[in-house]
Amino acid sequence: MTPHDDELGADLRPDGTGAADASAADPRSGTTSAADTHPDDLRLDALEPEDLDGHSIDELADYLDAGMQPADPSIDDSAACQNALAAIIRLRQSSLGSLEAAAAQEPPADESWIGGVLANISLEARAGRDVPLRAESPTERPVMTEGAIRSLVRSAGDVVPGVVIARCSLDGDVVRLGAPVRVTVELAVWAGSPIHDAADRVRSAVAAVLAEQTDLVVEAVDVRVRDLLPALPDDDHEPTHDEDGA
Amino acid sequence: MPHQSLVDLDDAVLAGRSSDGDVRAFEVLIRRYTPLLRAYARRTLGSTDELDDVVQETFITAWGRLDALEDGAKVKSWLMRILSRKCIDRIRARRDHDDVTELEVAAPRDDAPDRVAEARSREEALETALAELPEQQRRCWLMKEVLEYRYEDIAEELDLPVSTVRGLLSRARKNMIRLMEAWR
Amino acid sequence: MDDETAAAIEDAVLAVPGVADLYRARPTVGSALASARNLATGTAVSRVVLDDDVLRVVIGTDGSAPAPATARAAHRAALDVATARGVTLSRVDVRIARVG
Repeated sequence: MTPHDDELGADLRPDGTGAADASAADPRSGTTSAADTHPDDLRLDALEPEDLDGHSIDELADYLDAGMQPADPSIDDSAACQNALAAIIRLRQSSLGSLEAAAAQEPPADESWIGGVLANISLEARAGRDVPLRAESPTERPVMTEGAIRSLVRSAGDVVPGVVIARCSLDGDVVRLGAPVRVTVELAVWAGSPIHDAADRVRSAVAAVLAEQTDLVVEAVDVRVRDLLPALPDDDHEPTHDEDGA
Repeated sequence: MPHQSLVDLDDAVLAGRSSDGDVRAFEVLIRRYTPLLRAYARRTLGSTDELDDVVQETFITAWGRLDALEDGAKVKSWLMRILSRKCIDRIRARRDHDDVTELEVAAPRDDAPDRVAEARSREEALETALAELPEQQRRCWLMKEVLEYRYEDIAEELDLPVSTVRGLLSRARKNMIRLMEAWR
Repeated sequence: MDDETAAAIEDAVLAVPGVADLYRARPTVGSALASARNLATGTAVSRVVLDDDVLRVVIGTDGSAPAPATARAAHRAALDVATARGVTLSRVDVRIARVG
């Protein structure tokens, strides 16, 4: 074997022995014999092109990746290819599922470990632009970060029952004091909540908090419903208040 | 200030809020995906002390790159890709440090089909089969089938020629199909 | 500005009603060097930064008072302490990085 083959690894044969003549079958190996297999079972003894009507397993995988377009009759009309494709599809369907199942075996994130992540994420990374506040004397030059303003908007909007703010953004020349600014808020709404009423309440709450806590000149607050969330089992969409205050 | 609980929100909403700077939303994502990331890291790096660090680094990096995430609903696979890259970096670092070229005896064991056949569920069978693959085949398989990387991306990540990646995947596919057919 | 003055300013700002946190302000080259030196000797690293005669302060508020008022009060507190210690400031730039 060449070093290249070593790196690639040998194929596993159905009877568990190493790479060899594909047609040799060992009756002593204790694997499925012809008598045990149902006639409709897939026979995947060999997955080489000569067994797959001239196609390699990789061509079939690539064909699947391409959504089986453009259609290739030499694959579509080949029983062996269809069997192999079915096996690949089954494998793909199980792959993420098996990882998810394995994830269930892993312990949940440890509190102090989470603390380690949070200690290392910087407010600066998501702070955005510096939005000026009004100065009343020459010794002042106060600003509030966009990040802080977004958190204000979220805290105002989140209090409205049945909705949660998904995204918010400020449009306009926010770095210039007095420039008109447009606030866009995207909502996630639980199914069954009165959307129109909720949107109005969010709009008022956001306008109020920005008026109180910033010196932004807010031209408009656009509220859009973007996500519809399935109703929670207990159907209680009142904000549940965490006491952590973290 | 009273806060609304974010624990039941879907990935897209949490990712969007995180991108806007909501640390509490990001914390929900951390709790939600740490087990999956650990599972993926374990399959790529082996069971090692490094798992805690590499997953922690993944979240720290992710926070800084949230702008790059176009579709918040895909945050799960996006996190896994960041993790995968960090795992590969560590593998390379190990290799450089040990100065050993990776030439394993690269074939599943003889009793691999029996081990797979013993699995109690399809998921467990697949997990067992995956564990039986040689390391490089397993990595390629994970990157292609779970992360949906293209061949060129895998080649770049693993610092291998594309032809080698194709060869590894070809072997991995055949091995996986045969092993999974042992579980029926 | 010496470390004691910086510490006194920090304490005064944190004592302002409505100020919840004090964060590290963007450094100047000089302040970064001083921080490195302090880290090496184990002394506290100052969070406020003096850039010529402008003091940079970054705070988080708790929302109990309107943020602009809190910023103003924080600036006043810093200015008063600096003046009392003989440090002349032309401006105190307060940046609110977090609310509530």
